[in-house]
Amino acid sequence: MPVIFPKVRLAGLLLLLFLAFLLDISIGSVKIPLKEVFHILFASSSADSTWNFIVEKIRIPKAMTAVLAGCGLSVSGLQMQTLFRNPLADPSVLGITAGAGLGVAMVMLSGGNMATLFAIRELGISGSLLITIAACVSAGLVMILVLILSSRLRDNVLMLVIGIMIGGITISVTSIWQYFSSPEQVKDYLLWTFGSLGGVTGGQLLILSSVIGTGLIMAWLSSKMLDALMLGENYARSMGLNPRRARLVIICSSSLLAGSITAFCGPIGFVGIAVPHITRQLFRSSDHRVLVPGSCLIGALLLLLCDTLSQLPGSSTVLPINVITALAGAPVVIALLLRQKNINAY
Amino acid sequence: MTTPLIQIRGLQTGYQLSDQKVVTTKGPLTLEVQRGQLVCLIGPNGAGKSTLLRTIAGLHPPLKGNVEINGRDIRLLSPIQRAQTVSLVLTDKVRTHHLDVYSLVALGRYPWSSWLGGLSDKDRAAIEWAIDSAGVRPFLDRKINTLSDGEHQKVMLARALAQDTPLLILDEPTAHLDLPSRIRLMRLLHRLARQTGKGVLLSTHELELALQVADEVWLLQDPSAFYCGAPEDLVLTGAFEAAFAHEDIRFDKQTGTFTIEHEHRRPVVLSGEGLAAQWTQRALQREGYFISDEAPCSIRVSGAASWTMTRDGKSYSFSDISSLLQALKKTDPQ
Repeated sequence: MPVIFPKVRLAGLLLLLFLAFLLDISIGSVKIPLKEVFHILFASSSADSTWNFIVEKIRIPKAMTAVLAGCGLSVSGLQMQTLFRNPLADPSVLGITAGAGLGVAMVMLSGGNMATLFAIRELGISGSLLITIAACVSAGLVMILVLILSSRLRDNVLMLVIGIMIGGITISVTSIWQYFSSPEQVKDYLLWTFGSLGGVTGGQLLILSSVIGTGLIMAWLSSKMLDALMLGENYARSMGLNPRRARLVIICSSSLLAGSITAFCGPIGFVGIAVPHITRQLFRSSDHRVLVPGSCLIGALLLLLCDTLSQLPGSSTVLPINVITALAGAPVVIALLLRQKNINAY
Repeated sequence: MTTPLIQIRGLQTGYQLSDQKVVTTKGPLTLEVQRGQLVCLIGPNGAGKSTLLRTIAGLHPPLKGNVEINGRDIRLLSPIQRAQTVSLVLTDKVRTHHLDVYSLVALGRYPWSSWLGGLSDKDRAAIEWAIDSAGVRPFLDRKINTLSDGEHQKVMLARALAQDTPLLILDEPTAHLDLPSRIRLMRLLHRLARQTGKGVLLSTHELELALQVADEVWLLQDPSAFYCGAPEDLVLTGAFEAAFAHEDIRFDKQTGTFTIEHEHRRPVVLSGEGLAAQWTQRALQREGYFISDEAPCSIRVSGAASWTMTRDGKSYSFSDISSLLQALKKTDPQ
């Protein structure tokens, strides 16, 4: 029935996304005239080679990371909310985000390793390949554990509880590590938990985008299963859904998305929980073939705007991205909770 | 001879807990359901009706025996093949926000639609047919969480019809519905079975309704007591009475209804004829009286609205049953 309607909105969002992308790359601590930004973007040449470098090597990769992270976290959040039929589920409920954090803590807090510390100092907190690798491996191990457990369980709600328990264990281990570490090391780790969209460049950006791409395609292909799961597991089974296979596909895709983003950018909160709610409200639909692309666009848009805000226009200070997403995301979630009379039905 | 729609052989249902086996239907049941038949499964709460239905639908493994639908063992079908054979209406309530009725009915095409859930012309035709058959067109654009219980149940039925299966299983479809909705739903199911040749199997507590529409009744009293047959046969053999036997409830074979039995029943003489007399008798039974030839108190119903009570030689007149009962309570305290 309503076929044209979502398409118009998706197209509108795409246009907004493009504008936000331009805005994001034209604002920064170094003032570059808008005309020059356009020149660099479309003709890849500029009067000033420094400007050229800043836009091409720093701002564009950063904006692209924002788009990838926005898409991935939002879709992962949408999948978790539908799978667990819980309006408060987000990418962190499976414990995979915490898993990535443990990997980072292991590298940063293991201490004494001069090479590690040197790499962190030289390349910046999130630019360190070693940290990214540790986060990826650790997130991957937690993901495998979650997948093994999920294939043994019948019930999705139990899966939710187990995911949160795994997250709890992982966070505790990280805390113990922090407790016995020196203040400097803890500070480095804390900086990582603030999240950062910068520093993902070149080869890393390629890896991140291919993992996110795979996760998004899997999510898109799982939209029919997600639709069926809205009616609850019993109805979904009666309609021919294989609950274990569905859970495997959904958790696998969600883990790829959330795990890779946390590994590369640190734990970015609120996007995953807020965007699916905004998307449902905006499209007034429950069809996941609309909600998956819708969440992608809104998530990317939101994170680009947050990134723009974090540059504090007119000053050279850059706030951590997590501060902004929480500031922007939390009021939205509260407003939605107040608008919905019955929060049990997400 | 054609194969029956459902063929159940040696079935025993139940479930396996970690340390014990719970048998809910001992059986072994051997049953058949033909195409176009409406079968009502009746039994007290907790007797294992849902487990039996889920076992027949292939969602739950049997302890023993097997279920064949259209000659094929339900446990050997793939999930999609099974969903193309049996559709279900469950007691679960769907409360998703932003899900409109049309989309929900369209989800019934799940086992037939493409990889991404794209609908073909055939799918759309089936959805339209289901919408009209279940009578949900008036609220097609409403969101599912704004529907009343009766409307919700109809939408879930439409979804099951859109699934276009030869067998339709409903678990207590009349629960939470008011009396007119219950009757309408049962009539609708009866008509569907007749017109489309689908088999309809439903569980219900509505014994009196089931007696009127069911082609066959399955009576599940407890794990070892299972009766099946035409509803009238079950009344005559006393199976109904036995199944719901309880010290304060009596099954009236004459009317096919249950009456509440009072502990201390007192006699009263009732004379008169017609509808007014019948309802007076019901009112007296409710108050704990039984009709007798000899009693200290006698009541006479004359015409449509005049009651005379005679007691200890005195007569009182009343114009409705309510005031008659009040006077009766005063003169004859329990």
